[in-house]
Amino acid sequence: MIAALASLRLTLASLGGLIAWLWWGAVLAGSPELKPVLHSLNQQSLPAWLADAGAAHPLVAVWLTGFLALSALLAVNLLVCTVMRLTGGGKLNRGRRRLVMVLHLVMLAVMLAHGASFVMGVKHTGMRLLPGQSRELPGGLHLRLESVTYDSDPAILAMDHKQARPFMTREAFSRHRNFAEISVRDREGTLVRGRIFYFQPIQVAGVGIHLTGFFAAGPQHIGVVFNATQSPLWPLFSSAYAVVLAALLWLTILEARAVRSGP
Amino acid sequence: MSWLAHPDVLPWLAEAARLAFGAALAAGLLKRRHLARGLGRLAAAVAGLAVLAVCWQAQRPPLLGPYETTMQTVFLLGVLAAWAEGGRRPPSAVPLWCRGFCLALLAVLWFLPQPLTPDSFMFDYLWMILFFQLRLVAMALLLFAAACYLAGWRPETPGARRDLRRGRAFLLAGWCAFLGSEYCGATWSYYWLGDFWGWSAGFLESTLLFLAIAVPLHLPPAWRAERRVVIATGAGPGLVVVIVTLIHQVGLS
Repeated sequence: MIAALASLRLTLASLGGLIAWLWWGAVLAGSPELKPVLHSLNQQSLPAWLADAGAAHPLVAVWLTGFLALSALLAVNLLVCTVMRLTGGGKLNRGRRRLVMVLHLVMLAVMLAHGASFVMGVKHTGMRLLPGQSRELPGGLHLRLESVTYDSDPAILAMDHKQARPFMTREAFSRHRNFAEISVRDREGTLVRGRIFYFQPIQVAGVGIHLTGFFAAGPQHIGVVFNATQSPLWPLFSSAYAVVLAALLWLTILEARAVRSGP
Repeated sequence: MSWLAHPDVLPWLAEAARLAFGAALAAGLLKRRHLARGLGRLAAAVAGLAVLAVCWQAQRPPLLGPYETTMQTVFLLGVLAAWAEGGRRPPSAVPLWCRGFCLALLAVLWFLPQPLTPDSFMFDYLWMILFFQLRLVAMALLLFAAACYLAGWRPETPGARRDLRRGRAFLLAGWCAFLGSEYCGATWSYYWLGDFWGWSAGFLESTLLFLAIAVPLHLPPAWRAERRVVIATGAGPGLVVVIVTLIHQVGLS
C-alpha cells in the first residue's frame, strides 16, 4: 500500500488526472453561463460556497470536488514518495538527493498553503463606497471612504470592461493620479488614515484593504470598489514559493553542469 | 532607428522574419551548415528588431497578445538556436527544429491579430511585467527543450544522447522560468485583489501548464528506458504551453 502511494505511476496518474480536470475547469470557466458561477468562488471561502451555491450548480460542485480529491491524491503521493524514495538510497548523489528532497517538501508546503487558503481567511470583495460612506470589516474594524481623487474621464466608468479597456491607458488612467483617502477605526478610535492606490493596499490589524476599481454613481459622483481580505497564509506561501524557485534554479544549474561535463 | 516607430514596420518585420527563418531552415535541410548558421543569425536579428520596435512603440517590453508573444518567443528561440550551433559543437538537429518551431509560430501569426496589444494602466506595474516576460522566456526555453528531445529521435545520430540530456536541463530551466512567472503573477494578484489565487480560466490554465511540465520529469524507470516515451513527453510541454497560451491570448484580444 505504502509502495503504491509512493510510486511514480501514481504521480503520473494524478498529474494526468489533474491536467485533464483543469482543462475541463478552464472550459467551464470560459462558458458564459458558468463563468460568473466560478467567479463567485472568489468572493467567499470554498466550504461556504459549497454550502450556499454548490447545490444550485451541481456541475461546478462536482468539478470542484474532483479537483480537490485529485489535488489531495497528488499531495499524499508527493509526501509519501519524498519520504520513501528520497530518504532511502538511490542513484542520486547525497547532495543532489537532499536538494531534490527539499524541493519536494517545500513544494508540498506550497500546495498545502494553497489548499488551506481556500478555507482560511476572510474575503469581502466588490465593496462599493461613495465618499462619506462606511462599512464594517472583519475584526470589528470600520472602514470609511473619506475622499476620492479621480483624474480621468468619468465616461470610462459607465462602460463595461471590454469597452473601457482602450481608454484605460497609462496616460489617460494613471494609477498614481487616481486614488482614495480612507480611514479605518476599531472600537477605540482611528487606527489608520491614508491614501490607497491600485496595487498599494493598506494593512490594518491583519486585514488588507485593496482598491480594485472606481465607479460612477452620477456626474462628478465617483465611488471606489474595495476588497478587504485576510490572507494569513500569504507570507508562508510566498516564502515557500521563493525557496522552491531557488532550489529549482540550483537543480537546473547542476543539470546544466552535468551536461557540459558529460560525453 | 526612428523608422522602428512606424506602425507598419511590425507586420513587415514579421514578414522578413518568416522569410529569414524559412531560408535558414531550407539551408539546414540541404545541409548547407554555414549558410544556415548565417541565415539563422539574420533571422534572430530580424526578430530582435521586431522586439525593439515593440519596446519603442509601446514604451514597454513585449507582454501579451499574439504579435508580441510570437516575436519575443521567436527572437529568444532564434538566439538559442544560434547558440546551439556555435563554437565547436558537433552538428545537431536542434537548430533545425528550433527554426521549424519559429517558422510554425510565424505562420500561425499570419492568421492572428497583428497590432500591438492596447495599452493598459497596469502596464507599468513591475510584477505584471515580470509575469508576462518570464512566461515568454519559459515558452522559448521549453520550445528549445522540445527541439533537443526531438533532435535525439535517432539514436545513431552523433550527439543524440547529449541532446536528450540537454533537453532535460532546458526543461528544468523552462519550469523554473514558468514557476517564476507564476510567483510574479500570484504577487500581482495579491497586491491587486488581496488573494494570490483566482477562480478563472487563466489561473486554471496556468496550473495545468505547470503540471504538464512536471510530467516528463517524473517518468517511472520502465518508461524512462523507452526512448520514444522520453522524447514524446519531453517535447510535449513546449508545444502545449505555446498552444494554450496562444488560444488564451486570442480569446483576450
